[in-house]
Amino acid sequence: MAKKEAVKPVDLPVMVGIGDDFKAKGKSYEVKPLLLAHIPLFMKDNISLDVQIFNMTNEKAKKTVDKWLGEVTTEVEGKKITAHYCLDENGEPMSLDKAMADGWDLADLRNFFKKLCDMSG
Amino acid sequence: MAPSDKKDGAEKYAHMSLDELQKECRERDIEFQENTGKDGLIALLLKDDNKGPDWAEVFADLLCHTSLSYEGTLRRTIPQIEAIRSRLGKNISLKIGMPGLFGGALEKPIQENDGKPPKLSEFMAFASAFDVIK
Repeated sequence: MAKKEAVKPVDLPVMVGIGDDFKAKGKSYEVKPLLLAHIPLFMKDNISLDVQIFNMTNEKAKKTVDKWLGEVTTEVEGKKITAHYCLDENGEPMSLDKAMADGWDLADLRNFFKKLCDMSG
Repeated sequence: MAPSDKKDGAEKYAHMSLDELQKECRERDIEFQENTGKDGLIALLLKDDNKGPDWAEVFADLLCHTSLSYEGTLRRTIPQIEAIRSRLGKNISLKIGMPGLFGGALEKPIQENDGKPPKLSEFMAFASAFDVIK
């Protein structure tokens, strides 16, 4: 019998879909990995991942950031697939307004997108 | 066998001889001219590294070998799919689809003023000052 190739153990939170902690300005947030269904949408939104200034200079870009901090919905074969990728300490979805109220700066926003991409694969 | 490290550049193939590079290309079914030099072969291998996974194969594996539905698959994340597929003995590396994502660029510090980057609210106030120029 062929020897089974060793596979790396995977943590339960990954399999359950629980996110990871993300800290900004002394507060803790939860970031969740992108669902497969939302990856094409994320690519299409063309978010600037490094220089965050480009995400904040016009209303359309700000709405896009607001969406990825808050609620993302896509429709596949008539079924809506919704997810929240950034949750505050109370488990509530974030928004751009909330992020500003919590004192986030551009580095925090960049760290959020970096975390989101890093954990999404 | 291809090097399994995650280096993005040509350096991961630099230590390989011409014969080894040709063997690697043949194993991956990459077409090349017999007179192609080391640099050319490395370029071909890097291009192959950056090509996306065959998502049809991924979906077919999950639909055929698990009880996941099409919609259920869409509700999974890439790390979950990789974990399930690795247990099926399938090992295609899945990526979000952005080659070189954060490839060192994020290690650069954000330009800071007075030791701190601007708050989002401060930056938006600054950006909105230009709204009148249209």
